[in-house]
Amino acid sequence: MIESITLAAVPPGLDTAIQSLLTPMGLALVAAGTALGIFVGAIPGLTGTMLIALVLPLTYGADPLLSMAFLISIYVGAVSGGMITATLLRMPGTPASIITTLDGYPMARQGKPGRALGLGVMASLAGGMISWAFLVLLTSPIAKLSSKFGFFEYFSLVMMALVLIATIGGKSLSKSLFSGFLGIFLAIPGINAATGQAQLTFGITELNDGFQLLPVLIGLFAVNQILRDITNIEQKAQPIELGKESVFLKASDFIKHGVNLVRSSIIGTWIGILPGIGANIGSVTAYSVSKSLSKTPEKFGTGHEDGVVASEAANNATIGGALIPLIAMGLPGSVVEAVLLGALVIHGLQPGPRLFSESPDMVYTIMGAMLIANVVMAATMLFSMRLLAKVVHIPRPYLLPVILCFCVIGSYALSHRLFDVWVMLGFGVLGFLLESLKIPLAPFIIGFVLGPIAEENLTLGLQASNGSFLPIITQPLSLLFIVIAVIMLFVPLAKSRFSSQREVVQ
Amino acid sequence: MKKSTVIWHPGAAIAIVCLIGWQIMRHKSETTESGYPERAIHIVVPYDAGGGSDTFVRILEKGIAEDALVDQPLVILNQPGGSGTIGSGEVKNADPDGYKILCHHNAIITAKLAETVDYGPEAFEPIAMTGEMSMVILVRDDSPIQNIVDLLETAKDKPNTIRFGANKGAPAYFTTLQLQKSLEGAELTIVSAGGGADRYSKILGGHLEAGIFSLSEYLDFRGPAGTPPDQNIRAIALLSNQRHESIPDVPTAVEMNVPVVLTNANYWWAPKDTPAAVIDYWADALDKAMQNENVLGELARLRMDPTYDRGASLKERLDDTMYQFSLVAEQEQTWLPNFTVYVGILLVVFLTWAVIESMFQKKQLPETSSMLPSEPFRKRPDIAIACFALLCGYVLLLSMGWLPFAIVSAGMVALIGGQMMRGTSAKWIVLLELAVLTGLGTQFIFTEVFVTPLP
Repeated sequence: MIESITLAAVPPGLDTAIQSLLTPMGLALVAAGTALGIFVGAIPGLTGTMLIALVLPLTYGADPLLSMAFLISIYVGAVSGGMITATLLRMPGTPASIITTLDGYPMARQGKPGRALGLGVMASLAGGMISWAFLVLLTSPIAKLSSKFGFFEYFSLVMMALVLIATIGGKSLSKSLFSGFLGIFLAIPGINAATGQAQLTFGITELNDGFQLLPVLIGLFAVNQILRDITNIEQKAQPIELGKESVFLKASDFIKHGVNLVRSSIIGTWIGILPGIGANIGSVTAYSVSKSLSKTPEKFGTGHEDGVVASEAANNATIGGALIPLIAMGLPGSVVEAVLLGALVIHGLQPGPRLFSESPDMVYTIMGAMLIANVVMAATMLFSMRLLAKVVHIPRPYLLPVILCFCVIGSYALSHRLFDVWVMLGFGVLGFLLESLKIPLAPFIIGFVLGPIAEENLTLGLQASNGSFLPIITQPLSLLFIVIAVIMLFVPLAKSRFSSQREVVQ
Repeated sequence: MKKSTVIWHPGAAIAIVCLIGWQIMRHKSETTESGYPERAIHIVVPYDAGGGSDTFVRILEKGIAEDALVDQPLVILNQPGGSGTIGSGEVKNADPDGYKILCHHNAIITAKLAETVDYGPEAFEPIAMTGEMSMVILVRDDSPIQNIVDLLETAKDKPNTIRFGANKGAPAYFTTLQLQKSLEGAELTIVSAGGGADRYSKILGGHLEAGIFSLSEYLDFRGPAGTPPDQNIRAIALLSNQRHESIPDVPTAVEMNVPVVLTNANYWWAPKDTPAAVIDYWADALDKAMQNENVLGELARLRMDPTYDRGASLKERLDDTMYQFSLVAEQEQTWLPNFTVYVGILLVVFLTWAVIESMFQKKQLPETSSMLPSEPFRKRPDIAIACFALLCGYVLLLSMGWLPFAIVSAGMVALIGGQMMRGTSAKWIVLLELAVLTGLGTQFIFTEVFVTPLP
């Protein structure tokens, strides 16, 4: 009796989420996912995106809540693990920790590798926790707002998101836009959800469902990366040994870096919320802001503690930020979120405003998993840093072929056809070519995911309005999004400000 | 490093021995039966795991297993996508030996009429019809529309003011066209609004005036008594021949003199030219499964009527459904922009822009990758190309199916690893152990733990 009364007071779904997470199985999965993420994140050449895309097929038959908890834990671990090799090897384990090399490696060279890593773990934990707070606070109101959206509002929102990636996403506006539109274009083949007609399939029945997200992702981020690793197989780096120095910090360190921690975390969260740009941009931005506000900007890049703190706090903070639009609106905030979006769909859940009302248990599980994974991440990193620093040196010839085998199985398992495997191989080559031409892949994936959503909503809106485009500008919310998009596109201010920030870094 | 090899070699050896033992056991147990079926049978569900079709097939599979109606294990293959045409195409092209069969509803008929694919029921051997789901027309509870006649008359008086949710190309769409046709001059604005949950929220949000739903969707979505009318839904017509016991107050469209019927029936199909003995074997098994008590209980829970049909009367039923839908198959073309062209044009524009920009930039900016490690090393695109070629060869071999998965995979790992070993300190023996472990290990994990068939 008492139990049922207390349960009635909590939001619906929270109890289910707690029941699935706070079990030995749930906790073990979160711990295992985080550890796996740290491990893979620490190995240069293997990224979190790749790992999540490859683990996703394994979760097909499993419980959706536990599967998502596992994937989220991997995500948290992978973003954090990269700092180990960034600091000790000057090779960032994941793109998210590129900026950490700037000050982490010099610190390690100066005989303070333990302190650099300790600061990094502290900053990662703080960044994760602060962005988690934003996730919990902001998701529900945003979801409530966006559940009122009709077809045109959604279309305009997606257009705004697409413009955002192009303008802030990379170094070259034209290359980002090209990449984004290539993604939109390659998402066209298949049966149009709105009209029921086959488009660009050239009569090939296999193409009736277009290119599936998962083989595309595995191709772009796993196969492409492995081909690149093979090309660079002769690259060698001398690791700095982690001596007897402690990685644990004193309480006074938290106070010393408090302002920087909070500022960088908030910047990271905000960058995370913006669609299409992920952890690496988050850490670049936080680093350059810290540098420009610092009294001693000349110290940045020479082994300055503030640099490590800013970079690691911000890259972990992007996780919570990027989950907000994913849960509240069904829009991916970064490439990993695009994979997570695919994971939700595969488990029969439709990400978007209704996720909160229809599957609150899933929303709370995602939030809970992120919270627990952050704690587990900090503990694992602090207590097993020495072990991790050794284990990351597995020779590539052992590792890469096995991963390739998983790429093939993972693509096949989606719908049991080899067509998807060929798609994966094709996109692997495409990804390799695009990156070799310095064309960023993130706009491609965001375009690939958002393009069809935009097209479907516009088509349905037009069906409902009998062909009139007017509601795009007559409905207030839709007009607001379009105005923001136009400002973002035509005022190149944001772009030039961003590129000057990049120059500050270099 | 040395400590780790001490653990690695014995560990790897033990694991390999265990996995080989498992392989031998598996082969022994497989080669005992004679006559159809000799091996596991794949049932293709052309929709996602967890969806309505998938749930239905899994209920029947449980019933078949309980009563041991089929002598071999059944493997359910979800091949979703393309409005069910990915899975149906896969079975259409399969060998007609009865080891790959399809469970698919009316959309197999409408996919042809909507010209999504060029084949319909005639490209298969129908086995049986098992279970039917009634469909209803829903409006928001505060809507002035009280019944189907109201709906059609409003559509006639004020054409194109009623936005009606039914997915283009799906059975519901053809039914909507039939409804429109039943009253001269009635014009509904048909909107493809996604799955049941999508259409439900669009009706509540006032973005659609009405829509077609399955009976179970209606009973799931309906709010409890006392829900404010603007947050609830109401059924105005049932699209069956008789009223349904779960909603006795809702009249059928037929009662209101609108002769439109739509039920969603599940049919079982085998590839064309499958032997009649196999068809009968399955029709018998499904017939018995539909009488299993647990199956009946589960179907009742899903509000599905446990109807069953086979043989000549099934063919007649299919022909009739096909005829009804084909009467309205001429689709009116709503004017829609051609996105493919627009996106293509923009793509070319941005490509040109990027090319021009990079041509100018090359003169100004030197490489700025000074942030990353700078120790010089030789790039080896030759190894990358060789490895990729080996990988393509691997997939090609898998698609031929000449050799077992484990052997091909082990070979692939060994060869690609061998390519990469040139110029590193890796050891052949470790790589070979790893290759065997990968081949056998992945097969073990996927067939025993995840129960997913491998290529």
